[in-house]
Amino acid sequence: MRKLDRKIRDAFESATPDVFTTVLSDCGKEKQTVTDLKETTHIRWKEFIAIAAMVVLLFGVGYGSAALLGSGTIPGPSVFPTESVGSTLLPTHGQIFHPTELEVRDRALAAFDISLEDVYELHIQYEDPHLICVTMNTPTHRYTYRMLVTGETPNLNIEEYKDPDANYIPISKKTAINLALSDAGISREMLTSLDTEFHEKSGLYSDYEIWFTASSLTYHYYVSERGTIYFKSSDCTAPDGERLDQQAINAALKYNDLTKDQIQDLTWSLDHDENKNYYYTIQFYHSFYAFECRVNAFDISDILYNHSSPVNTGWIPATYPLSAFDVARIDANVDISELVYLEIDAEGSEQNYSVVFKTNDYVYIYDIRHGTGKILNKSVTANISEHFQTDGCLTLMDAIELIRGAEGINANQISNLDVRRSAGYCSVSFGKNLTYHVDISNGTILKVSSLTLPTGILNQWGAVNLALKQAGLSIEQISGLDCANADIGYMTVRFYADGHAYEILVNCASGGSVVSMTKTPATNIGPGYIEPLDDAVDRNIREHYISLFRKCGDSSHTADDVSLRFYGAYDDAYAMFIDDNRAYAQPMETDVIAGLSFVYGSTQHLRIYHEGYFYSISAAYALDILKYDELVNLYLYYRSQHPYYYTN
Amino acid sequence: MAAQLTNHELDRLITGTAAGDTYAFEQLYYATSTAVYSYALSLLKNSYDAEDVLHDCFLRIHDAAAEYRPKEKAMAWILTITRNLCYKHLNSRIRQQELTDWQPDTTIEMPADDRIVLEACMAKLADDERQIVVLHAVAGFKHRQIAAFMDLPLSTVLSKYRRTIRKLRSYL
Repeated sequence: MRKLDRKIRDAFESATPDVFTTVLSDCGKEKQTVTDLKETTHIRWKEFIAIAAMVVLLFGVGYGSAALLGSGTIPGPSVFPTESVGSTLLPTHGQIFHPTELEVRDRALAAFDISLEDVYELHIQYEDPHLICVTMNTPTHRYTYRMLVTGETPNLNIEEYKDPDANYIPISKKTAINLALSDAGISREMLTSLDTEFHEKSGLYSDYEIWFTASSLTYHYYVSERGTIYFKSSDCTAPDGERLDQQAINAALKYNDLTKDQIQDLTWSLDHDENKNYYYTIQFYHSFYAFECRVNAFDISDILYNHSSPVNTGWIPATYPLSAFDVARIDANVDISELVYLEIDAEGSEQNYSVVFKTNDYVYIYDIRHGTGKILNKSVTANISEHFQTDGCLTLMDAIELIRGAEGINANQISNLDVRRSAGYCSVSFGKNLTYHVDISNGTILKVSSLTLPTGILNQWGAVNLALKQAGLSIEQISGLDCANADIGYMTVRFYADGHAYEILVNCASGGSVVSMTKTPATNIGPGYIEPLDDAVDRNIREHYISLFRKCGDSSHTADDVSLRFYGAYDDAYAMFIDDNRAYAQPMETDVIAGLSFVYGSTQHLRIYHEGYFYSISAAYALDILKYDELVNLYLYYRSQHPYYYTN
Repeated sequence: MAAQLTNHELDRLITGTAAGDTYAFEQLYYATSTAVYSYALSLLKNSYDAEDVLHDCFLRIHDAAAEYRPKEKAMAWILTITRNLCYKHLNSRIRQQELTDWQPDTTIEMPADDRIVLEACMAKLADDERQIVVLHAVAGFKHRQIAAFMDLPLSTVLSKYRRTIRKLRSYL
């Protein structure tokens, strides 16, 4: 299955166009919110006030005076243009004008009392037409400033929000230190010095500046009151740029001649002995061995302890999905005898097994780590699909073990596993297109095939034949045939004949046998009769038929030259012969579809009309327009109409 | 397409995109564009519209990255955006009565084998079958993720997927 998945992925990948360059350029066009401050012309706020006052005076003297003289109000914008987001804000429609981005930027800089030279990145966004958000990055801080502008001239009102999200709970100094230590991967006991300073900001949020030294390295952190580490100095990392604990892991791997790609389930912790000697304990798995390595936290090159041992409990060999299932099943506390469905797939990631199993009441889904048997995810939902009888029959696991024993299949030869119950048998697939069928009543392995039913198990058509034989009728004599799964291993065949309704229960296992038959006076009719085709649909189909010839240049025929011989509607598919004046003689032909023979004595073969297209029976079946049951019904009806084709 | 990244790695790239990191955005694009395009194609059945959606989708991702909350559901988030854009396209096409069946785009240069597989997926599969296969094979969704994404019972997804694979095998 995965090979085909890969083919599909490759096909779509080949078809995918590369539009990244266009996307990137369009991102720039639409947003234009990043301002390179080095290249922008600095316009002073006072100049803006002067310009704004002039505009106000020009377009509304009375209003403008009031705006300028109003206590505490800031003269400037009147109404924000809703259609322009992030554009340079110049007068657009008569008296409507807007502050420029430069003006907004200067207000934000002034609010935090930072200089333009300290800012290396600046974004201006309109969160709604009246709310402007400015974010600025400096090497040590990220500032957010919001400006709300409401009202119109002369009652213009501008509100500033330096910290729009002020309801957070500030972290304590101790927490800030712990966050920094955790980020550095060291503990307090390893510290040789520690110093902190609290910076109260007038702007967005305050922060802690933290210095400490450990293992001959100096660390320098800024941790905000919100617990975000937004700056750490280059001194806190080793020359190769790695954290202390990562260096310890690398040292442990190097000591064992391994790389990160070769190991699984890596864990590490900082521990110490009774003398406060700190070390990193690093554990991981490789192949069938578990490793534990301790690295001196004060000297990464010092490996204090290294040990590897074959794994026993908890370890699942990489090619043994049944062990993964055992882990899941034991966790779910499900007895093997309760199972009605099991699927184990190594899909998605080679690292995990996806284990799906069902009882009559629940569906369990587990993700199990391929290498260690660790449960990564699990879920349990109600099973709303059909229920199966489980008492007195082979369990799914019995079937698996039975086949493994009979066929000599080792556990490590199994890639994917798919086990399910069906009518009278249990099908087991180990991947590689092999499917085994086990008769659940007696444990017989019936057939090795991925495509056909096992020998001895009746399919629908077999059940119908048996039922007809029991009733002493032939297919031509009946109508309204229906054959459906009943209890496990059984099918119910229903049909009408001689004004009576028949219901026959057939045991499909072990060659098939009739369990019971009832015969009651019928109240309706069977497939010997079909509802006539609606006139409008009839016309529509004929028009479609003719239109296909028109595309080829034939304009002489019309829908009136065509007639349909209707063979029934199957959901929204219509079966028919199509007659027109171009018919010509042709030898008798037989189409065999799904084992059913459609014998034709003329040029015309049955066609299926479905959503504006004509299909052959085989195409309609292959495309699932006709389901198997419907195909059988069509076949039975066709055969009843042409018994002379089937004299042999 | 780059090797399939984990949702955690995609989260990191989206966060980087939100912070204005163009390289992160580029990595995100090349890691997910095939899934986006394939899913759009599976819904719209038109390569030009799918390309439009691919373009628009990454514009949306770029704009909305700051609003994304990393929960290791990055691919679902991206494909939800894709689906919404596709529905918008479909609505527009319905209004303009431009709904058409799949027409292969012969201008795209691709290996013959790939073209056959693509044609089989596009022309032979029902819409929901095609979506399930694309979500599984291209986007890397597990069956239960597909069930959640498409709001279908898991058993339906499992059976449809198997049936679709069987159907494709018969064509290929």
